[in-house]
Amino acid sequence: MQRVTIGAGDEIMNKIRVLIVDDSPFSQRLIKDALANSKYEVCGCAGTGGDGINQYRTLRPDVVTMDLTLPDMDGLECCREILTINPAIKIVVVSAMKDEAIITRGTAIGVKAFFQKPVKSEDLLSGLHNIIDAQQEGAADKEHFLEYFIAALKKNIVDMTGMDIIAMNHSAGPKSISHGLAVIIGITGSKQGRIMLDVSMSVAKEFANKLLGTDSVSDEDVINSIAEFANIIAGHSISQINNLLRDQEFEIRLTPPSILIGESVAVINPKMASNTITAQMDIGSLYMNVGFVGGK
Amino acid sequence: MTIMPQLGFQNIVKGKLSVGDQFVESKGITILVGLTDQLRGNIAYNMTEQTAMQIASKMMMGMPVASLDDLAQSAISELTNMVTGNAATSFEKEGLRVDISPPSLVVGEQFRAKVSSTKFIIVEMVVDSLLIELNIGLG
Repeated sequence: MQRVTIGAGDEIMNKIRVLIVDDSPFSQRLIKDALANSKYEVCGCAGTGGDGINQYRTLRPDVVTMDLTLPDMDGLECCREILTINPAIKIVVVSAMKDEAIITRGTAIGVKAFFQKPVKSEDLLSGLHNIIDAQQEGAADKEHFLEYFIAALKKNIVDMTGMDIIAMNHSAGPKSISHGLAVIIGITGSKQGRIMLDVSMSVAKEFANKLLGTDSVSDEDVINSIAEFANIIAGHSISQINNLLRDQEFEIRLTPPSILIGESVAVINPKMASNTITAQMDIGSLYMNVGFVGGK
Repeated sequence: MTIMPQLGFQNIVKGKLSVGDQFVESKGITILVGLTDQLRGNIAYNMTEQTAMQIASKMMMGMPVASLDDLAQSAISELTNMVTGNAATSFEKEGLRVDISPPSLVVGEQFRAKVSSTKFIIVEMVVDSLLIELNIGLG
């Protein structure tokens, strides 16, 4: 989050920067007025969706307010575009329309809140307050999520292979170097991220043998069984998390796995804070890297 | 594609369309994006490191890119995010709800990737003479 520090006598205020996207200068003014004398500062106003996207890129505000009827594109489409640039951006819709269909569609795209014009200052401020504060909680949630992945990893290694885990280590870091075979599964929905299970080919072979109860396996079987194992770990973890947060209308989904074969290959996910869990077994180590977008 | 002109690329040509089997041989950089909900699969964007650097440079208004540093990596990731997101929006217009996962950038020498289906579609896109290979595995 970029913050502008304004010194006023002995008081220093960090303002949260807002970009207004609305084709009516009058509406822009109304929203600006609603945010006056608050911790929010309007850093830009855009009259079209295209301009909104460009200004987003240049200004990188913390929050975007979006009108739904723009001259060049649908407001929700503009939201989508900005969200694909930065999935962590907080976008709220401020529009004359506010019906169920819009709320459903908007929420699916990633819009955080909906306000109907003319928007009252206290409504806008409290609405934004909830969203911004939720982000602070988000950081705590991520730590919490990791626990589920760790639990699923532990349980399934033991249940599915019968092997004991000698040690488990945890480190935080953005980059992961593949050891030979890596399975990457995307996470999307209420939170976006990805899980990667990584292991050297030799450990993968031994692991597959244990999974299948055999003495020798073909390369294809190794790849398929590790991919399936990763799918199971991911599936168990997100099911638990979804159940836990069911009443918050929280749902995360998995994308199909993609597999990487190659040593010393760097896997990079910009804008993602991730954690690597190393599970040491007697046959060698298995690495699981889990990361989510959003929060620090 | 509607995204590329917005980023400053003039000439976009769809090249060869073919079918791949099993593995995508990486050209140097492969970016993986997952799709789920009503359309499930993976897209692997494949290109050489040189191409990636040139694309990053164009996206940053011609700023020279000498190596695939954090900024260049971020630019390329965002590109694939935008392209895939744009495609997802188009699908949505057709009534297909598609959700995408954040992109994973993979860099290395000689690696292969497997997308979600054994047989996959390979679409070559030539953008201002730069070749990006899209490997699309669905189902």
